[in-house]
Amino acid sequence: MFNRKLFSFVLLAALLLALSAGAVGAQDKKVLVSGRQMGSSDIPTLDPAIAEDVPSVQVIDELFVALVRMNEETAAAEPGMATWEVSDDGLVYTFKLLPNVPWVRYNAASGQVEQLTDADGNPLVVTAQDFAYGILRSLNPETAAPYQYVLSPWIKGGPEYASGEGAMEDVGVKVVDDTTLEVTVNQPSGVTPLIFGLWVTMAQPQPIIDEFAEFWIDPANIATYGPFALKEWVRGDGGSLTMVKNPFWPGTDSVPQSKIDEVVLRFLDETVQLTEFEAGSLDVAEMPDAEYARVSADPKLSAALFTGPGTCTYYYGFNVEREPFTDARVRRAFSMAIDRAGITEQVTGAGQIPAAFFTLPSLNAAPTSEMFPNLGIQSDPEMAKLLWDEYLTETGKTADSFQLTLFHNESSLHSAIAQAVQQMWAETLGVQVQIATADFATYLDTRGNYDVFRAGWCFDYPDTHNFLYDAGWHSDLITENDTHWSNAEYDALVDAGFKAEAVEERIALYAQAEQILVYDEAAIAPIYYYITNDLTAPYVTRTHSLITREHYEKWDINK
Amino acid sequence: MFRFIVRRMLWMFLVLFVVSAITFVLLRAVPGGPFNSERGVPAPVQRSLEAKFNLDKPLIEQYLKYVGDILIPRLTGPDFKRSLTEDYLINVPVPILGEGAAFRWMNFGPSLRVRSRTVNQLFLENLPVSIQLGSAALAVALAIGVPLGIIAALRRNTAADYASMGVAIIGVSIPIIIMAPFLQYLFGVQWRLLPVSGWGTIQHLIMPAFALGFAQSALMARLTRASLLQVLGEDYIRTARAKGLSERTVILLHALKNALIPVVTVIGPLFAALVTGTFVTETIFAVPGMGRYFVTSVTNRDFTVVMGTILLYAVFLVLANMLVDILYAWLDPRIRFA
Amino acid sequence: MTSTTHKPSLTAAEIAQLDERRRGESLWMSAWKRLIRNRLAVIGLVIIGLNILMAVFAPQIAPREYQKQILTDKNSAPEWVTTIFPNMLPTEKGGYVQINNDYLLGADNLGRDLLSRIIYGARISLLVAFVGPLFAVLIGTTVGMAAGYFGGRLDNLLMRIVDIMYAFPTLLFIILLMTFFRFSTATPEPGTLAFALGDLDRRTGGMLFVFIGIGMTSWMQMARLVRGQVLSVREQEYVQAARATGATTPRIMLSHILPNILGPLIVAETLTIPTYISYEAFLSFIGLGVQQPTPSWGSMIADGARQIASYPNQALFPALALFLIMFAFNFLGDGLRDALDPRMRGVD
Repeated sequence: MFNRKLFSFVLLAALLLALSAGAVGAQDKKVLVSGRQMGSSDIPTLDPAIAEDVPSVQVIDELFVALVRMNEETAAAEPGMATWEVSDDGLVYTFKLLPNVPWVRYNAASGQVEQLTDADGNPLVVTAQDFAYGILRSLNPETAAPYQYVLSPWIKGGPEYASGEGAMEDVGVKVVDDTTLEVTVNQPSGVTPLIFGLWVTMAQPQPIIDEFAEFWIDPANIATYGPFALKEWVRGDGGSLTMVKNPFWPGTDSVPQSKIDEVVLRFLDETVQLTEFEAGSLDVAEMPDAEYARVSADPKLSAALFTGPGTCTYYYGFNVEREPFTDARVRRAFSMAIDRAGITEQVTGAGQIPAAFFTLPSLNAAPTSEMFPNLGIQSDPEMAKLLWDEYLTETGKTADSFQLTLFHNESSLHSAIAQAVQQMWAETLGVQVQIATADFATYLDTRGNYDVFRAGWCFDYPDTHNFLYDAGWHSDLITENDTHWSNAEYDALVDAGFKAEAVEERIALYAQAEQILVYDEAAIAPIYYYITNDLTAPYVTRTHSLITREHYEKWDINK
Repeated sequence: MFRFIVRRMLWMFLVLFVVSAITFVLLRAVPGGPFNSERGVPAPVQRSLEAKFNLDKPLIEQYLKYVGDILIPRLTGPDFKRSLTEDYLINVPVPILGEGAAFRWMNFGPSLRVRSRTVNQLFLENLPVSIQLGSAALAVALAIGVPLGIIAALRRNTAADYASMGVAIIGVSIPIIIMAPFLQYLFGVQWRLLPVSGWGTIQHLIMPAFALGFAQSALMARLTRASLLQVLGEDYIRTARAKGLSERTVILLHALKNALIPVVTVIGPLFAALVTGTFVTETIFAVPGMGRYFVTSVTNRDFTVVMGTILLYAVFLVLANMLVDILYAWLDPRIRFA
Repeated sequence: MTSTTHKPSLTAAEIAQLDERRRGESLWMSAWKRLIRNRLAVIGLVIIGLNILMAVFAPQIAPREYQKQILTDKNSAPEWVTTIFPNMLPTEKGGYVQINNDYLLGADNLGRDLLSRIIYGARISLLVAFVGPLFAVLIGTTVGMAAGYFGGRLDNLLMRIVDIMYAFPTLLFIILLMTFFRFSTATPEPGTLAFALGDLDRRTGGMLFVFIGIGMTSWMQMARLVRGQVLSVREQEYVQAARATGATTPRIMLSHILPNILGPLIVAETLTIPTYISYEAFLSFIGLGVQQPTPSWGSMIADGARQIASYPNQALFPALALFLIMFAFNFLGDGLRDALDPRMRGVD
């Protein structure tokens, strides 16, 4: 009897001890819970070749590391998995890889991140072959990588291979030895290193991909090597993804070992994120613009609020093939009639910046309004009226003879802005514009048929070239340009800006191109630059990213 | 009964066939495709994607292939490799036919938009969540609705009647998109009693199940009240009362059993509606169920997901109704399978 | 043989008619009496009546234009609103809410008067409340009566169609239909049928397709109900009498059968009206509802819900309006059921 009592007592004590030990263990572990708004309802993929959206790229950037790492605070190119040298003619890049970085996978049974081994039990490490395979797989038309068009023009033989006409052997990617990769590019440019910071150039584990096909990215199959490993991925709206620190990542100056043990990304709408943050259950949250006024007036929340530069420009495109927008003066008049400050202060109202020109001023080689105070388009109702009247008198038409339609994809923000602009055009120019909306898929398919359409452009790599060339205004890309506008002088300036070496020279050339795009020709009306608003709990030390993806390995939690 | 089930099953296949054809036609008539994106898709990529997912064939061929992939079972050898386009819901190993041989059936295709997941995975991972939420909501609807209905019927045209029906109707009259944020604010932020959003524990289930179930309790209350009133007017109740049985016995033992028959009949369709009509609730409470896919898949032109979810729902509804008919016959012996 | 010698004082048809009228009168009269005895139903009726008046006379009642934006007044609220929602701290007290007593309920995120938008919004909600049933009655009754009256193959065919339509998830089907209608007509080129439809939709503020979408999914239940009712009255004496006197089929259906099955139909539709209203709100929530700047309570709630923590008034006032009308129709429906449902009568 006594023994039994003693036994149960011991058992109970042991249990309590174990519980408290567990609790202590849990406290010691640094877990960061962050909300992330999804484009649709889930992180679409973790495959570096196939990713094209911000949340996917965020995770991929932490699971894999590109040859070049983009510094999230300065957008500069830093060593990632490799350091590099460029040949004198600027055409050959030789990358020297970090040695002995193992491929790893989280083992749910043991709760540990484990090294992957080959059949003989030797650890598998990331080699130059893995990078070559990654680049070629991204370019392979069979892979159908949405981002191959960003990558292919840079690499020798890339455009041919990507379009299905050239051979893989002709692509300028050469494995010198296990840790040396040589890539030949098509033209010298200062932008090139950033291209090797794109996810489509990351190392990809061929044996795993061959074995599991598209399911290689499932937590049970995936192989990664970056500062974090994939622990869990609950798919669907309201799901979450958990990354766990990879102890095998060697840690470098630009990509240190993580101080945080686990990062949980919860897929939540911004509104829910704010509520969760107020309830204390999120450490980091994105903030809905609509609540900006309240949050910035609240003493506690405003201390947690950080407003940083965004990654996109919001603009309206004019269809230059439809009357009256065939006339540049009319386009300029409509652009001038938009009260940009009115929109950023009264409609979006969360710190957005009125845009006088297209390129985000925070990018490499981008002109800024400090450098060029008069660059681009300014809101000027009187001038707008003058230009519009001039056109009407010349053509003998009246303002109400035009049935114009402004087209945007369905969203309360776009709708609010469109209605505000509609009223501005009615008041300044006397034109009653119709508003048409559609869901995103229809909108993308049909926006080129309307008179004016709303659009946004977000950068893929932080350089002006990505705005002035890749966005479609260069006549190389005319088929993807829904304004149908092109201009030889503009093309020449953008090409020259790309080739020029000195940053000052590039900026000057790009400024001239901007003036043509948004003022002389006014093919588009830039409206504002996005910003990012987020909330961070006081005990989190962090960096704020300019490039849409956070580098959690530089963060810390001090509760 | 067996014949009844077989006939219903055959009928279900016809229904599914027509439903899928209509959905297919409607979907393809709308502009936009699953691969559209803001930056435009390069032509070789578009071609390659269309070839990979069979979108480059004539429409009728695409439809037949889709239906065929679902209906026609396959026997595969050891060289079978599961991939995005070859993922079957039912996989039964058949060792008799050799090493690695398997019988595979029902391939609902890949999600065209996400390209890393199949519709089958979506069913297996997200549908159970919706079913759990739907069941909990159904329980809430019954727990609130039936008692209110009973009170209302027994105290007909009194303040108690009005009050109970009033409570039930409040539920259906407040939009969830208003009720949910208030629940979240009160229970999550102010009192910190329940998690604001998310999934995984019983606590996570409480608010969304209540928001969803309360809205349906009016239907339950109304049905219970009406049918109880009717039953109370029947002769056998009068007889029971005349026999001197206590009012309690009369109501609980005699009246209620029969009065609940109409309630049972709506449980099937209601459950189906609760499982699929959860878009708003799942969005606000961040529940990883199927609800959001119903909406986003149409917006994203994720053809296979739309088809899959519509078919799934139709199966659900037909089966639910069949189950109800069986239950109905069991509850009320006068009804025979027609 | 001998009938020529014996002339009845009334023809069979006349008897049937008389019988029916007597039945009808007493039925409707007693139903009405029962209805107005039900206090909640009367309240419902009054609320609906007031809403109809509000919708009809919206231009006279609304203090401002519903679409007029004054951006500098955006999100402003009158003082009384900030007192009932204490978290809406005015700017003078270090908060964020701009006080403007010119707006009785406040202004929305584009500086439009909430009250005026709620008043105009009654139009959409009421139209939906009546157009849904209209479709249901037009299509559903026709199908149901044809199936019930003619029976046989036609019945079988029609009812199987209804069964198939039933297998569609209603909301998903509406989304699909709305997407189909709205976006396959999304063309700016005049002269095509698609453009004409799309244009009509835009001119009605997006109501056309909302109505079609809801209408096309609303008639099946009605068809089933009508069929069942027709089956039960088809063989009754007055119908047979009418048939014997050579009344044409449409006449029998319209003047003999329809009046006798109207009661249950009205009850069923009144109880379904809140569902239509909530569909409209749901469509607005997912961006497929009426088009801006047309106000509907559903779209106002959806817009307001995005900033419900900051400006609860913007979502709550239209929600209150929606609540009242849903409440009214629900109670009216329950009242009508008690008053009209024959099974209920024995209980009194």
